[in-house]
Amino acid sequence: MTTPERSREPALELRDLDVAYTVRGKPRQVIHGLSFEIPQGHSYGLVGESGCGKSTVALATVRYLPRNGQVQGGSVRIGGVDALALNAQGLRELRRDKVSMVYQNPGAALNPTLRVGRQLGEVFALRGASRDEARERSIGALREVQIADPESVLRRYPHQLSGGMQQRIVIAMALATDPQLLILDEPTTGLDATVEAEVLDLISNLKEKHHTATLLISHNLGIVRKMCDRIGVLYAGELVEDGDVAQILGEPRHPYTVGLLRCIPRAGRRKDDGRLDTIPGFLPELGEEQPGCVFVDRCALAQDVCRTTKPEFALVGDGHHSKCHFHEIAESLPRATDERAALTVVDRTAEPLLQVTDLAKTFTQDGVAVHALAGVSAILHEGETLGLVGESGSGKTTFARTLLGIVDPTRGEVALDGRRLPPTLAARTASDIAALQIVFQNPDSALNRRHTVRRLLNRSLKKLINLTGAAADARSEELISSVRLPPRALTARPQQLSGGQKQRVAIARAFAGEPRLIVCDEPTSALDVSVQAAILNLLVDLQSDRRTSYVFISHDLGVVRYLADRIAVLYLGRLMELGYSADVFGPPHHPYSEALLSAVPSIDGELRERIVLAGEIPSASNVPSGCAFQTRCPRKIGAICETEEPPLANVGGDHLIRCHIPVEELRRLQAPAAPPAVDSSHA
Amino acid sequence: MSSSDDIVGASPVTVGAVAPAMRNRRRTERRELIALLLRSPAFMIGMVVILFWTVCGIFGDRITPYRHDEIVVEGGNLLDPSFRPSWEHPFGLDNLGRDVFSRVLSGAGPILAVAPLATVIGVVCGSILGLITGYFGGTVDNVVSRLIDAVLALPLIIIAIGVLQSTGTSALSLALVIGFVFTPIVARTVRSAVLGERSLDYVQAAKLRGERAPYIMFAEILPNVMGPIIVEATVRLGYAVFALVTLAFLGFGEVDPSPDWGVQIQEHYSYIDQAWWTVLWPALAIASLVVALNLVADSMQQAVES
Repeated sequence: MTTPERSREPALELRDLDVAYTVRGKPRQVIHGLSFEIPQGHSYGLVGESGCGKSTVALATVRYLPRNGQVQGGSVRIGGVDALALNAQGLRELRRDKVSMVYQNPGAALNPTLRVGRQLGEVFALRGASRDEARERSIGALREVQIADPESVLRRYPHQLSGGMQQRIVIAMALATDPQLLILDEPTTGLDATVEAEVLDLISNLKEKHHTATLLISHNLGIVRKMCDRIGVLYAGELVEDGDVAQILGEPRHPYTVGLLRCIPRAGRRKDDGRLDTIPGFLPELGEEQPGCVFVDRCALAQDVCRTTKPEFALVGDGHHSKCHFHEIAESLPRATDERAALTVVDRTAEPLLQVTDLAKTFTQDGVAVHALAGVSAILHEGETLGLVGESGSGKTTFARTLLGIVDPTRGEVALDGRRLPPTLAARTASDIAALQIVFQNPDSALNRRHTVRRLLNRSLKKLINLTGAAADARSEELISSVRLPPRALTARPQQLSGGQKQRVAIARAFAGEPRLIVCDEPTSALDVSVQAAILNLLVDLQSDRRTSYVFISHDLGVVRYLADRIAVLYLGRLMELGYSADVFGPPHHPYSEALLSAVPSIDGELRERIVLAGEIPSASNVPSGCAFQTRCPRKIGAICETEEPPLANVGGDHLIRCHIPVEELRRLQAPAAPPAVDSSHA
Repeated sequence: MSSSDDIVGASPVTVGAVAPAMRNRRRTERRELIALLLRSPAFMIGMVVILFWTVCGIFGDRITPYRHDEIVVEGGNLLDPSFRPSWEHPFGLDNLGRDVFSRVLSGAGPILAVAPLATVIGVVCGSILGLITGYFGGTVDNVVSRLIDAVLALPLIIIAIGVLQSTGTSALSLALVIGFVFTPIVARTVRSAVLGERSLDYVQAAKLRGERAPYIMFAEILPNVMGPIIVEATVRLGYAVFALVTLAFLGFGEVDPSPDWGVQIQEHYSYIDQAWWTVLWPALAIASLVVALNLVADSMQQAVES
């Protein structure tokens, strides 16, 4: 592939960019003197927590800032063209020819009322292609993003396609014009890990082929590592560190980067290995002017000089910059949390707390039976954490909701302490209801925004354990301090709290009725990593205090691995694998678990070869014959997989696998080629 | 000061841990809303007009130059030049020689007594109905929604005339009839707001502590749909004013000597060629109040949705 003729100018060059938003009549600066450049064909990752200004940078680059946003200073040059000086016509040409964007939500990027063919064809028509030519080129573009049947896809409307397909189409549109610069703003955040891996592979290949420079915005360091050459770490609108991927992730020289990396459960870290570190405090308020370093309030290395003098963006290595007075000792940042974790000892000889037998749920949707859950059995001991993993549509949430009695099972039963629970909430006693509680994914949705925290907690205390008046007030204070919030949080309403604080309130509420088991339904996926770490630590602490069991649902395998004692892998409502965390995460394991694991982009580099799953999870209304996974299984052995459902066989040590391949064979197939790095270098 | 988010060894919590976020977000939703409204010119103009009519309605004859039923010029007729608008009588005199300016001002009284009552009846009944249909869904929703469609298919005025014919006209019966007609309209709006709320997890959380349906509807969901309800109430108030003057014009409601705007127009519309002032001023009064109410409703809607 020949590299297209291009100028030697960088694909993107930002110099001293200042951006402000006007809020309530006052301009508030959100980007402070940002400078970086992306040479032709290179890729740059911009990372940082939410609110740091990542998306604002992307929007300012192509001049898509909302009406109250304005670039106050600096320059933006795209392929040598000063983007800020362009008039409307020039800007349109720039967007048409030189730069494309891919956003997080492909459903919103495509027009729901137009067929895919029409939308994609427009891109070519805009550059003067005739109708037939546009159609031909659309088909070619879809082939390029590996869509198998482009003619039929062109005739469809966006809502008839899956999220992964939609994102491919958006990528096809973005690359159709062969731009110099591709801006990707959280391009895979809404997608399952398996689909994410495919889309990322696709982007990497196309980027190579077209020699396109990319600006990737992501909160996920694993993705950035996989996709980028260089990383910029953004904090409160300032670039605090910038360097090669290996430098930033291997030898970070800014305390913020160091903190971020320590928050993430990585390299197989488990709760037995100790608590995660966190970054204390909060981002500075929007537009708050700091005389010194922006990170000073949250930095354990801060000295007086950090409060008064802004650090230089100093060169600390080969092409590696850090904005810190003490960058030499950044990696010695003291921990914000105690390393030792209080662990729960699980007594597995006792009667299990929870016994689920052959639980199944079939929904009827427009007359079609959807088998969301097809007979799952599992046990859970007191103080134990069961992790539930699988792609969306695998039945994780249905399983959890059936346990809780929100969903009425079609078949099977749930027993608590050996006593069968009635299937629905209405039939359960108050103490049964109190015994099983939930922490939802999104605390904004889970907490009534009109109620104060005190009311939220007192009401639960009243309904669940019949505690009222002064006793309830006292207990609410205990609960709120057990989730490390001050008593004055009780008078706040949810909108006065940060995301992490809201999730703490939701956790306090779940613990109000002295529950035996709490379902944690992706409790940290809406939170930033530093907040996620604090919440995970809190869950571990509370478990060891109260011996509560958890059913922990998450799409983030690193988080599940950190927290769960045992793991259940679900696929199309079936249990594919169940076993101790270490067993499920290491071979031999089910081919599906293997594929899930290999799809996760790791911060520590890829330990294994990626296993590509064909297509996407089939519909639960039309489950494949034989083994449910046979249509996508990379290790399918033949006709038996299509005709006979494999049994859930015990392969030793309470490790269950549902596969026709004998376990010895699996072990041999999955043995790593080279001995894997057991742990990361800096533990 | 280490304002730690996760204190070492779970030691007692420093208040500083939460303080920054809480301090920064102290502006509550409601205050933000009011601040937004006060900055909206449409809202302010609308409020001034409404306030003006409210004062007129409350004080009536006590602030007008003449009593509403006072015959200023006896025995004249509308063709007399003295009946035309003048310095003495800026809006002129009506066919019985009464001061139109005074009658227009005090005409706000009867309308502003009945319209809010009708609105309250409609909004309360409609909200309850909307909560029930939206929350339960299924068969309840289907049956009630079809009934609502049936009621909405009939023009308001036809229903009102039919009912008022049989019950007789009084302030209360007017309010009840208009309230009844408003109920399904409000119910629809509330229902769709409830549908949005019902899917949020706090409703599931309430069920998971054994709450019953009435508590979930009225203590959990209702406070969260107050925004749309208040907007709808303001819109309805405008329509109630409109319905009242229309009914009065058709002979249902106030009768002479009441200064009701509808009554005034009804009595004079046949003279509009000779004496435009007898119709124009009450008509403008109606328009100003309805437009003001709509301005307020629109800006509230914008504020609630933003």
